[in-house]
Amino acid sequence: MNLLNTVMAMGPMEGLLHGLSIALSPELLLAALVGALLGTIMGLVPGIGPVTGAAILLPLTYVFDPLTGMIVIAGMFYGIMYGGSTTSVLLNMPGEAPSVVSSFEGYPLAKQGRAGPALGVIAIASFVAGTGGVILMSFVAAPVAQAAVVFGSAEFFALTLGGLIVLARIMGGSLAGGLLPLAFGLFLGILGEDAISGAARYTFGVREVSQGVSIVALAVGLFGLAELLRIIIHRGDTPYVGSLRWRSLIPTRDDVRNSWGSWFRGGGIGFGMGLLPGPSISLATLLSYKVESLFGRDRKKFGKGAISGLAGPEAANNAAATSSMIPLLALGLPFSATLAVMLVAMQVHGIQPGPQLVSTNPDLFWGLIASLLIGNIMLLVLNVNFIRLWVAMLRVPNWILLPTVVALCWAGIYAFRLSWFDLAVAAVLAILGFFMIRYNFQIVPVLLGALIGPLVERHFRQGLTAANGDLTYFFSQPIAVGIWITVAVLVLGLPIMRWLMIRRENSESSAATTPPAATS
Amino acid sequence: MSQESLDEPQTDQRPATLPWIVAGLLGLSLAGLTAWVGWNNYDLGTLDRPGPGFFPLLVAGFLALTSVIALLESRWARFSDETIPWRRFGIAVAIILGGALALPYIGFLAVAFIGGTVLAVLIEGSFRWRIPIAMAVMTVAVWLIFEYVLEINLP
Repeated sequence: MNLLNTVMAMGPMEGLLHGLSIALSPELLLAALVGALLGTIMGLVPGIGPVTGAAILLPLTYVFDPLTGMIVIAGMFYGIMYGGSTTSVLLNMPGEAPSVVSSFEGYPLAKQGRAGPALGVIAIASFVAGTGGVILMSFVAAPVAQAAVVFGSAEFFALTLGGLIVLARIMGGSLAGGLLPLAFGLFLGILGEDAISGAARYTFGVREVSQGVSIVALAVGLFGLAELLRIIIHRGDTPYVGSLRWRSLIPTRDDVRNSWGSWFRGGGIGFGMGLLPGPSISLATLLSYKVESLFGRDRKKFGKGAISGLAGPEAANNAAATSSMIPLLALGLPFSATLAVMLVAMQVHGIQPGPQLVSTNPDLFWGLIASLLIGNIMLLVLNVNFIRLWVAMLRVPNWILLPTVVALCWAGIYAFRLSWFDLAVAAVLAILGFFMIRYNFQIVPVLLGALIGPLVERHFRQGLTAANGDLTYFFSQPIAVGIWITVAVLVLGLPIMRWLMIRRENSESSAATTPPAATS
Repeated sequence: MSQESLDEPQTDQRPATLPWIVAGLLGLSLAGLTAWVGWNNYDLGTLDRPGPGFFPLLVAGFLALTSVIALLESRWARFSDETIPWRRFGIAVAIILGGALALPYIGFLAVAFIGGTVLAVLIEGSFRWRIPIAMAVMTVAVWLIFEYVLEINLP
């Protein structure tokens, strides 16, 4: 209890300094550098977004201890985003959804021969917003975790099951498009040994299933191999990329004057939006773009290469990516697909994030937050110095890159549990994922269901035991009731809003097409 | 261009009714199997002390419910009409699935080299001698990374 009090008493700045004292060791600095480097390289492969990239790179972290592994993954997370923005600007091919907005202004700038300053502004805006986000995060994450320490089974059951339902509804366009994959994910989560009684469930005599479905096979199969399959069969030509020198990255005085306000506006929007579930990072970039089109200094150039329209969304992208880690670290809930893969990475290293993490493993908690800060600095250094290398990377043909990534996936899946069965599962999931994406079923809820499902079951069974079998216990605790009301508003409110908007659009379009009544 | 074509949404969406019905039926089958196996093999326990078979029954119920919703929604389900080149798809799937199954028998080096070469030819569109050479270099590089940098033995 003394340790708990000591850790909880640690203020945000003390915590951050404590984290820095851990993360500033040569090994961990190298880990952050390697992560940022690998992430940037993966982000440069067109079509491979942060989820796919993180899933593919996940196996490379096995050999590290938990903190080092997490620092590598965090570096990759940022690196992939920067790589995705680079392809948006240079090729008009966003590597990931949040980078789509970067191509709106970045690509016109590149066509004007100003790709260098565009990439330079991206690096600076990302650095400013990311660093600010990490500092804010250190103030918010620990208090959120502290508040959640009082949660019992009822609150956690509401948070985990309610969170899953909300995420499945937000991510899936139709009701079944998100919920059926979620149910399938929950089914995958019950396979193997029961965590409470130790009984083997649904193993059908297969030894490998008794350990449950490999989370690495699940993540790499559904996100990595399924996406690679799609890219391979719709063969894309290797695009032409011009040359770029690092000196050309330096923005002009006008670029800085036109964009510095956007760094902070975008950062603020991103940090706030990142705390929400669903595709909040993409929405943050879109919102920031809209805000810049209204308030940006060079708003008259929008659509033709406005630097503020590039800097704002990039700042929002990085700040949202940072703040979205707060629910993951403090509550154990991943609010996006990339964070679900981050959760897989944590579980691979035996870490279960949540309110207890800050008290049971403060070194990891604060070390990770500090390493995000270091990762940002690494990325700025890498991006400025290695821009020619990144441009050269873009010239590597797909016929070399894609088979290499497939081979990495095979090796990584096998290496996790030294199991060929996992490879077969991943291959089958890749085919399933391919068709799910094609027919508008969401794949993220499958992973979330399999990851969070066991937690839902644990809190449900523990809660029932604690309440002597009284089911009303889950709906009578005040915080749990608040969570369920929020879930109901989010699940029911969004379709109602959409229905109202469609109705309004229909009535407006019918009014526009109706000929005016003749007047006498 | 006529006014109608300007006003109409530029859609390349096609009905996905059949795939959604298949998904719903598969979900119902899985739900039935989960419930049947759970009911017959695992202890349900009591409400105040639920056993290992309790939660799977709830999951089966949720799976059945969402499958029925999928069947009901199948009428309106749509998907982007992006034609699948089936021959390429078949070869890519055969390589990914075949590579996974063959890895314990013929080893990583052979699987990565053969699979990588076939995939590269598939992507490039024709065979060139530089492909097997590049794939040999790639295979050895990945193997070396896992064996010596990550210290993980591949078969």
